[in-house]
Amino acid sequence: METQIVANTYQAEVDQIVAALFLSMLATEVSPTQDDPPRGDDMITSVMPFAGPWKGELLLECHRLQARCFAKRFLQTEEIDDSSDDIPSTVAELANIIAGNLKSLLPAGVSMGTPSIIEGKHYTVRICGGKTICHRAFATDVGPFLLRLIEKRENMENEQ
Amino acid sequence: MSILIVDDSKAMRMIVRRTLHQAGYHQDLKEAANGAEALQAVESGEIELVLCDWNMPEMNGLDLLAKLKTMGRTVKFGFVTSECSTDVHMLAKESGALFFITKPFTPDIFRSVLDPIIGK
Repeated sequence: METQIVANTYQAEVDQIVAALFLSMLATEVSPTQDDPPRGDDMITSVMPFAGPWKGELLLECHRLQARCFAKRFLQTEEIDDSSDDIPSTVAELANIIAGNLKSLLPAGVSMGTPSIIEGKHYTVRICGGKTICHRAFATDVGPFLLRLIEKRENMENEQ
Repeated sequence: MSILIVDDSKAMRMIVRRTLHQAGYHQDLKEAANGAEALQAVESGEIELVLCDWNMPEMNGLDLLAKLKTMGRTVKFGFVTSECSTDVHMLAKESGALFFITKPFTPDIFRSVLDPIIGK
Protein backbone atom coordinates (compact mmCIF):
# COMPACT_ATOMS: atom_id res chain seq x y z
CA MET A 1 0.00 0.00 0.00
CA GLU A 2 1.40 3.35 -1.00
CA THR A 3 2.11 5.85 1.74
CA GLN A 4 -0.13 8.87 1.53
CA ILE A 5 1.80 12.06 0.92
CA VAL A 6 1.00 14.67 3.50
CA ALA A 7 0.65 18.25 2.31
CA ASN A 8 3.20 20.62 3.79
CA THR A 9 5.55 17.93 4.96
CA TYR A 10 8.54 19.50 6.73
CA GLN A 11 6.59 22.76 7.20
CA ALA A 12 7.94 23.46 10.69
CA GLU A 13 11.49 22.61 9.66
CA VAL A 14 11.31 24.73 6.50
CA ASP A 15 9.99 27.69 8.51
CA GLN A 16 12.83 27.34 11.00
CA ILE A 17 15.55 26.94 8.37
CA VAL A 18 14.34 29.92 6.33
CA ALA A 19 13.96 32.19 9.36
CA ALA A 20 17.45 31.33 10.63
CA LEU A 21 19.05 31.80 7.21
CA PHE A 22 17.47 35.17 6.48
CA LEU A 23 18.13 36.51 9.94
CA SER A 24 21.75 35.40 10.16
CA MET A 25 22.91 36.13 6.62
CA LEU A 26 20.58 38.87 5.37
CA ALA A 27 19.60 40.51 8.68
CA THR A 28 16.02 40.14 7.48
CA GLU A 29 13.04 38.88 9.44
CA VAL A 30 10.67 36.58 7.60
CA SER A 31 7.33 35.14 8.57
CA PRO A 32 5.04 32.64 6.88
CA THR A 33 2.20 34.21 4.90
CA GLN A 34 -0.77 33.04 2.87
CA ASP A 35 0.15 35.35 -0.01
CA ASP A 36 2.27 33.91 -2.80
CA PRO A 37 4.27 36.43 -4.86
CA PRO A 38 2.00 37.80 -7.62
CA ARG A 39 2.88 36.12 -10.93
CA GLY A 40 3.57 37.81 -14.23
CA ASP A 41 6.21 40.38 -13.40
CA ASP A 42 9.93 39.79 -13.75
CA MET A 43 10.46 36.66 -11.71
CA ILE A 44 13.44 34.54 -10.78
CA THR A 45 13.37 30.90 -9.70
CA SER A 46 16.17 28.75 -8.36
CA VAL A 47 15.76 24.98 -8.69
CA MET A 48 17.79 22.67 -6.45
CA PRO A 49 17.66 18.98 -7.42
CA PHE A 50 17.82 16.04 -5.02
CA ALA A 51 18.76 12.56 -6.23
CA GLY A 52 19.21 9.11 -4.73
CA PRO A 53 16.73 7.37 -2.43
CA TRP A 54 14.58 10.54 -2.40
CA LYS A 55 14.14 12.42 -5.63
CA GLY A 56 12.75 15.87 -6.06
CA GLU A 57 13.39 19.57 -6.30
CA LEU A 58 13.36 22.58 -4.04
CA LEU A 59 12.19 25.77 -5.76
CA LEU A 60 12.69 29.29 -4.47
CA GLU A 61 10.76 31.96 -6.39
CA CYS A 62 10.56 35.71 -6.03
CA HIS A 63 10.42 38.93 -8.00
CA ARG A 64 13.68 40.06 -9.54
CA LEU A 65 13.55 43.43 -7.74
CA GLN A 66 13.14 41.59 -4.48
CA ALA A 67 16.02 39.29 -5.39
CA ARG A 68 18.13 42.39 -5.96
CA CYS A 69 17.34 43.55 -2.40
CA PHE A 70 18.28 40.11 -1.11
CA ALA A 71 21.57 40.24 -3.04
CA LYS A 72 22.44 43.65 -1.58
CA ARG A 73 21.84 42.36 1.93
CA PHE A 74 23.51 38.99 1.36
CA LEU A 75 26.63 40.56 -0.14
CA GLN A 76 26.42 43.71 1.98
CA THR A 77 26.84 46.09 -0.92
CA GLU A 78 24.67 48.68 -2.63
CA GLU A 79 26.58 48.25 -5.87
CA ILE A 80 24.31 45.73 -7.52
CA ASP A 81 22.53 46.90 -10.64
CA ASP A 82 19.49 45.21 -12.09
CA SER A 83 21.49 43.15 -14.58
CA SER A 84 24.12 41.95 -12.11
CA ASP A 85 25.02 38.27 -12.00
CA ASP A 86 25.04 38.63 -8.24
CA ILE A 87 21.22 38.52 -8.29
CA PRO A 88 20.79 34.99 -9.70
CA SER A 89 23.89 33.91 -7.80
CA THR A 90 22.31 35.02 -4.52
CA VAL A 91 18.97 33.33 -5.21
CA ALA A 92 20.82 30.15 -6.18
CA GLU A 93 22.88 30.23 -3.00
CA LEU A 94 19.83 30.85 -0.79
CA ALA A 95 18.09 27.83 -2.33
CA ASN A 96 21.29 25.82 -1.97
CA ILE A 97 21.55 26.59 1.75
CA ILE A 98 17.88 25.78 2.40
CA ALA A 99 18.18 22.54 0.43
CA GLY A 100 21.36 21.57 2.26
CA ASN A 101 19.69 22.06 5.62
CA LEU A 102 16.58 20.19 4.51
CA LYS A 103 18.68 17.31 3.23
CA SER A 104 19.41 16.20 6.78
CA LEU A 105 15.68 15.40 7.11
CA LEU A 106 15.58 13.29 3.96
CA PRO A 107 16.62 9.62 3.76
CA ALA A 108 20.35 8.90 4.13
CA GLY A 109 22.17 8.78 0.84
CA VAL A 110 20.26 11.60 -0.85
CA SER A 111 22.57 13.83 -2.87
CA MET A 112 22.13 17.41 -4.00
CA GLY A 113 22.92 18.73 -7.43
CA THR A 114 23.88 22.26 -8.34
CA PRO A 115 21.21 24.96 -8.65
CA SER A 116 19.62 26.08 -11.91
CA ILE A 117 18.13 29.53 -12.44
CA ILE A 118 15.06 30.49 -14.46
CA GLU A 119 14.38 34.16 -15.15
CA GLY A 120 11.67 35.92 -17.13
CA LYS A 121 8.04 36.99 -17.28
CA HIS A 122 4.86 34.91 -17.37
CA TYR A 123 6.51 31.53 -16.96
CA THR A 124 5.46 28.49 -14.99
CA VAL A 125 7.84 25.89 -13.60
CA ARG A 126 6.44 22.38 -13.72
CA ILE A 127 8.47 19.40 -12.52
CA CYS A 128 7.41 16.38 -14.53
CA GLY A 129 6.25 13.48 -12.40
CA GLY A 130 6.36 15.55 -9.25
CA LYS A 131 4.01 16.46 -6.45
CA THR A 132 4.36 19.48 -4.19
CA ILE A 133 4.70 18.22 -0.62
CA CYS A 134 5.53 21.57 0.93
CA HIS A 135 4.36 24.98 -0.28
CA ARG A 136 5.36 27.89 1.92
CA ALA A 137 5.21 31.60 1.21
CA PHE A 138 7.18 33.99 3.40
CA ALA A 139 6.67 37.70 3.94
CA THR A 140 9.62 40.08 4.16
CA ASP A 141 9.90 43.86 4.26
CA VAL A 142 10.57 43.76 0.50
CA GLY A 143 7.71 41.44 -0.42
CA PRO A 144 6.87 37.75 -0.32
CA PHE A 145 8.82 34.83 -1.72
CA LEU A 146 7.77 31.25 -2.27
CA LEU A 147 9.37 27.92 -1.46
CA ARG A 148 8.14 24.65 -2.91
CA LEU A 149 9.45 21.19 -2.17
CA ILE A 150 8.48 18.76 -4.90
CA GLU A 151 8.83 15.01 -4.57
CA LYS A 152 9.24 12.83 -7.64
CA ARG A 153 8.29 9.18 -7.69
CA GLU A 154 8.06 6.68 -10.48
CA ASN A 155 4.57 6.59 -12.00
CA MET A 156 3.58 9.69 -10.07
CA GLU A 157 1.33 11.99 -12.04
CA ASN A 158 1.81 15.73 -12.06
CA GLU A 159 -0.05 17.12 -9.09
CA GLN A 160 1.44 20.55 -8.79
CA MET B 1 50.58 32.27 4.95
CA SER B 2 47.28 32.44 3.10
CA ILE B 3 43.78 31.10 3.44
CA LEU B 4 42.21 29.74 0.27
CA ILE B 5 38.43 29.97 -0.25
CA VAL B 6 37.16 27.43 -2.80
CA ASP B 7 33.58 27.81 -4.01
CA ASP B 8 32.00 27.85 -7.46
CA SER B 9 29.66 30.62 -6.26
CA LYS B 10 31.21 34.06 -6.47
CA ALA B 11 28.61 35.33 -4.02
CA MET B 12 29.56 32.72 -1.46
CA ARG B 13 33.28 33.39 -1.88
CA MET B 14 32.57 37.04 -1.10
CA ILE B 15 30.56 36.11 1.98
CA VAL B 16 33.16 33.68 3.32
CA ARG B 17 35.84 36.35 2.75
CA ARG B 18 33.76 38.96 4.59
CA THR B 19 32.98 36.57 7.45
CA LEU B 20 36.67 35.71 7.84
CA HIS B 21 37.45 39.43 8.12
CA GLN B 22 34.63 39.93 10.62
CA ALA B 23 35.95 36.98 12.61
CA GLY B 24 39.34 38.66 12.83
CA TYR B 25 41.30 36.70 10.26
CA HIS B 26 43.37 39.22 8.38
CA GLN B 27 45.67 36.77 6.63
CA ASP B 28 46.06 37.01 2.90
CA LEU B 29 42.84 35.57 1.46
CA LYS B 30 42.90 33.88 -1.93
CA GLU B 31 39.99 32.51 -3.95
CA ALA B 32 39.44 29.61 -6.32
CA ALA B 33 36.26 29.03 -8.32
CA ASN B 34 36.87 25.31 -8.88
CA GLY B 35 39.08 22.38 -7.97
CA ALA B 36 41.62 22.99 -10.72
CA GLU B 37 42.20 26.58 -9.60
CA ALA B 38 42.48 25.37 -6.01
CA LEU B 39 45.15 22.81 -6.91
CA GLN B 40 47.09 25.50 -8.73
CA ALA B 41 46.90 27.80 -5.70
CA VAL B 42 48.02 25.08 -3.29
CA GLU B 43 50.88 24.21 -5.64
CA SER B 44 52.20 27.72 -5.06
CA GLY B 45 53.03 26.59 -1.52
CA GLU B 46 51.64 29.65 0.25
CA ILE B 47 48.35 28.18 1.39
CA GLU B 48 48.01 27.32 5.08
CA LEU B 49 44.32 26.55 5.18
CA VAL B 50 41.67 25.62 2.61
CA LEU B 51 37.99 26.40 3.18
CA CYS B 52 36.16 24.43 0.53
CA ASP B 53 32.58 24.02 -0.67
CA TRP B 54 31.26 20.46 -0.83
CA ASN B 55 29.14 20.57 -3.98
CA MET B 56 31.00 21.87 -6.99
CA PRO B 57 30.77 20.89 -10.65
CA GLU B 58 33.59 18.83 -12.23
CA MET B 59 35.67 18.33 -9.07
CA ASN B 60 33.75 18.40 -5.80
CA GLY B 61 35.31 19.24 -2.45
CA LEU B 62 35.86 15.64 -1.49
CA ASP B 63 37.63 14.93 -4.80
CA LEU B 64 39.82 17.97 -4.25
CA LEU B 65 40.80 16.76 -0.78
CA ALA B 66 41.64 13.31 -2.17
CA LYS B 67 43.67 14.86 -4.98
CA LEU B 68 45.67 16.98 -2.53
CA LYS B 69 46.42 13.86 -0.48
CA THR B 70 47.55 11.99 -3.58
CA MET B 71 49.85 14.87 -4.43
CA GLY B 72 51.30 14.69 -0.93
CA ARG B 73 50.15 18.19 -0.02
CA THR B 74 49.72 18.55 3.73
CA VAL B 75 47.51 21.60 3.83
CA LYS B 76 44.88 22.12 6.54
CA PHE B 77 41.53 21.48 4.91
CA GLY B 78 37.89 21.86 5.92
CA PHE B 79 34.47 22.31 4.42
CA VAL B 80 32.14 25.31 4.40
CA THR B 81 28.92 24.04 2.95
CA SER B 82 25.15 23.89 3.12
CA GLU B 83 25.37 20.09 3.41
CA CYS B 84 24.03 19.27 6.87
CA SER B 85 23.45 15.53 6.78
CA THR B 86 25.30 13.26 9.19
CA ASP B 87 26.52 10.89 6.44
CA VAL B 88 28.26 13.76 4.68
CA HIS B 89 29.88 14.98 7.92
CA MET B 90 31.17 11.49 8.63
CA LEU B 91 32.50 11.09 5.11
CA ALA B 92 34.33 14.39 5.38
CA LYS B 93 35.86 13.42 8.71
CA GLU B 94 36.91 10.00 7.43
CA SER B 95 38.53 11.68 4.45
CA GLY B 96 40.70 13.83 6.65
CA ALA B 97 38.82 17.13 6.78
CA LEU B 98 39.65 19.02 9.97
CA PHE B 99 36.33 20.84 10.27
CA PHE B 100 32.89 21.19 8.80
CA ILE B 101 31.15 24.58 8.91
CA THR B 102 27.56 24.53 7.76
CA LYS B 103 25.67 27.43 6.22
CA PRO B 104 24.22 29.67 7.47
CA PHE B 105 27.23 30.68 9.55
CA THR B 106 28.36 33.66 11.61
CA PRO B 107 31.77 35.15 12.47
CA ASP B 108 31.44 33.55 15.94
CA ILE B 109 31.12 30.11 14.36
CA PHE B 110 34.20 30.75 12.23
CA ARG B 111 36.17 31.81 15.32
CA SER B 112 35.11 28.82 17.41
CA VAL B 113 36.02 26.37 14.63
CA LEU B 114 39.11 28.00 13.12
CA ASP B 115 40.91 29.46 16.15
CA PRO B 116 42.04 26.05 17.45
CA ILE B 117 43.16 25.06 13.97
CA ILE B 118 45.21 28.00 12.81
CA GLY B 119 45.81 29.83 16.07
CA LYS B 120 45.79 33.58 16.33
